[in-house]
Amino acid sequence: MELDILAVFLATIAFGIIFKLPKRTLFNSGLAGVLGWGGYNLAFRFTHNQIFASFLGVVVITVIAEISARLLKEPATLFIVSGIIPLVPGSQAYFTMLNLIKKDYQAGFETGIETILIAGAISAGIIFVGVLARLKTNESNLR
Amino acid sequence: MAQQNVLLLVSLIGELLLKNGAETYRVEETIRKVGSAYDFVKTEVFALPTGLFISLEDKDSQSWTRIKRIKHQTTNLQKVSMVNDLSRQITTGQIEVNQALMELREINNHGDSYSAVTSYLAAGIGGVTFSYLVYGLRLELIPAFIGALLLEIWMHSNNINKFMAEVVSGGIASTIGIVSNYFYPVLDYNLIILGIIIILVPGVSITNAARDIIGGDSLAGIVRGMNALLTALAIALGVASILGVKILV
Repeated sequence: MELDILAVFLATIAFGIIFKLPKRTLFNSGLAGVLGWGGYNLAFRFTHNQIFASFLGVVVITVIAEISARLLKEPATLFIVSGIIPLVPGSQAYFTMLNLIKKDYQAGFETGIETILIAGAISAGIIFVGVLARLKTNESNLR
Repeated sequence: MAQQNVLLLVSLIGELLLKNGAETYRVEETIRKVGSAYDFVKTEVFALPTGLFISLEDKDSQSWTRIKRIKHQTTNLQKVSMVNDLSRQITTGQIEVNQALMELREINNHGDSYSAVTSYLAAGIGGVTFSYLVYGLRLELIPAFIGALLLEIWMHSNNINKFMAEVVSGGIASTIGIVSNYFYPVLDYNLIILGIIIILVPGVSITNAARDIIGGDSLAGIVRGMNALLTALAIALGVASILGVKILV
């Protein structure tokens, strides 16, 4: 459990460095990653639905990102892009390709749909919170 | 002339933001705000990942237009953050145009905030921790670390077309996986390859594409989405062409 948290934190920060985040935003993006991963696991334990769990995890990440964005006066994306890395369906995408190479189209179709649904849930989570965060600031921000 | 300088300023701001991985709405909003901060009554801007169209209109209804072609996209969120700071200063503190231009040039030439070695190590750690999260503590983590590190070094140093670079990267990843499996058959090559290619996955483009489309910038979103899909296909092609030989033989 502790090792998992450490791994999520390190993964988020490592990808933050690859995307060249400003140094002072690294800790908060790591925090967003850890809490989002926690939210994902909690939701998965109760519902056993990977898509819903991904959505909830990303909602947590985006909420933390919006708060950090206001505290540190930085764009919220900075905290989101690396925070979602532990949740992206990288392994599903890989096995989709592998199944297609093996000409196992049935399995490929299944993993492919799963990949698309998880990716969709992640985008939906970001947009969901993003729209809510911009509801209060009127004028040009509302779009 | 002041108006010309503002035009130059906003086009440089837009270019820097688009080149370094900002969302389309951020580019358009920033340009609109900077334009009105410098007393233009109307600022029309249309941003795409591949180009930027700006038209400024002042009180005498005279207008200035500039089109900017954007090439070579990377992800450098440090620069996005710096431009964001500058535009905040412009809209609140009213910096003079020439000074803003100078600061923008400085941002453009700003070196990486992380040394090359740091980013190579970060890639290695990113690969290892991602595969740990998917499969737990296994021996495959060691070749995944080395592979991700080597791949990042290669991606930094190569100078070829982006698509080809990604195909070759996929090939390198699956070669490392298969070679490790050949010498140590206990190692599952799938897990190694997965850990290595995760550092290439176009996560930023996919998220930005979805946000663009929902936000109403459908054309920009489609372009970004196509780019992300192309990257994913390139990686898959590279992996598949090496792995396919192993599986089929």
